[in-house]
Amino acid sequence: MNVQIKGLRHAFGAKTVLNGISFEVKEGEIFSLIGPNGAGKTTTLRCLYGDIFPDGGSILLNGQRVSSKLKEKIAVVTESRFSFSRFTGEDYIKLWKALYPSWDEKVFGSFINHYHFELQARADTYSMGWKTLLNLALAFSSGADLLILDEPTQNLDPLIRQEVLNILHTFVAREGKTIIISSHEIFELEEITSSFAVLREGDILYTDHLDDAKENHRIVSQSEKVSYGEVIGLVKNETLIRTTEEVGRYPTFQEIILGYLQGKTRFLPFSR
Amino acid sequence: MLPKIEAFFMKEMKEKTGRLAILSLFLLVPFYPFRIFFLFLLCTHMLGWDVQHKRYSSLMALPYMPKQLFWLSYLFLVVISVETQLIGAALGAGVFNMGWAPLGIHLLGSLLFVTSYYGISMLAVTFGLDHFAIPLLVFIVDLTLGGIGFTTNNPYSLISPVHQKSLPLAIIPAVALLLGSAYLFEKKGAYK
Repeated sequence: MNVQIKGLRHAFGAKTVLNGISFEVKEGEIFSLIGPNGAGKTTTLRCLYGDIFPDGGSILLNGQRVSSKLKEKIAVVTESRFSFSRFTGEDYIKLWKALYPSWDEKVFGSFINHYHFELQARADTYSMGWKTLLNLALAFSSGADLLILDEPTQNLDPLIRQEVLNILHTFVAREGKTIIISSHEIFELEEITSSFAVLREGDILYTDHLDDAKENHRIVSQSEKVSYGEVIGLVKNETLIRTTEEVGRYPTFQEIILGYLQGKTRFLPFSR
Repeated sequence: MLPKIEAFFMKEMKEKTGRLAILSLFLLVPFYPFRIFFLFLLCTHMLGWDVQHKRYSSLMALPYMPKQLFWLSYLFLVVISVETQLIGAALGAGVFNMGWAPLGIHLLGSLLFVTSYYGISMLAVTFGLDHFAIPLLVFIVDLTLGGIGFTTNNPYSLISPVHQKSLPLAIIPAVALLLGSAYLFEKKGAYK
């Protein structure tokens, strides 16, 4: 599913959360929204699936505005995971089965066999990790073309985290589906992301394909001379610059993100 | 659409079991002035409650649109109101030898009341206000204003959702509140 966001604006009262952001996600991509707390990641996702009405801008999914029919092709894992009280795991399955016409029982069966969910227990008694995992299992089994995942690996143990990353990768590579992820976990995002946007205080600082981003940036030592390029930010004792000149070394994904978020100032509370 | 209705009703029945059971029990009492207070509580525990208690976001993460949620919640409210009214009337006729004659008028009166107060509760949450406190305030004002004087010198009592001295006239504010709140909820959503 193609996603096109143009000039998206939103404010909660007097507080502007999204300041006219734009980005595009192509079918078959894993797109990551990265940024610190309060950057506007979750608000962007909520606008995408229609939970919040933006104050301005447009959101097009496959060229159309979000509708009830289109939402049957979108599965969401929210930040709060499960919030209906008294619901057991089985109740959530019933709910999702009824609401997603392309529900895939075989996929869900595989999740049950592998993770042995306690479906008779109330979902609010699950640990956060189990809530996340069951919510992901429901999303993968929904038959949706677009998955919107808010912090999908939060609270998962390292082994399951790796399994989930593999599943996400296979889901897109084999099934041709599209995923939009919001996360802080830049280290693990590098394994699966095809394109990304760095958000801070409601603005997109940078958006690109991962390979192009690496191609167009260099990490140089602070004494190194560069004839052309734009200084983006500091990364430890080095500098991230935007240039195609053959200087320094290529940055990692993490360094690109940190460079944009850090900027040119450094916070050192103990320095004199 | 049927699976969506079924899924929504399942969510309501499961999540609000205790409240619905207690309210339904009181709503069986076939005595309009007594029933009206519990109808009021029922109205304020529909979608407005979901918005206030952050369930609306979870519902919107599923394949529902605000318009659908608005009307599904209203449908659920109507079903509970009518069901309890009919069972209550049957009990009244069977156990207390009460007549069936006023059933039609009572049924319409209940529907007009829940329609008005559902609309008020939804208007409140659309403007970021409390789903219960605002309707309660309106209810007290409505009860007091409509109770002053007689129908000849108090035209408000004719259209009052509580007093409904003229059923045909009371339809007007009820429908206006429902449609107005539906329109605003669809345009603005549940958040400012």
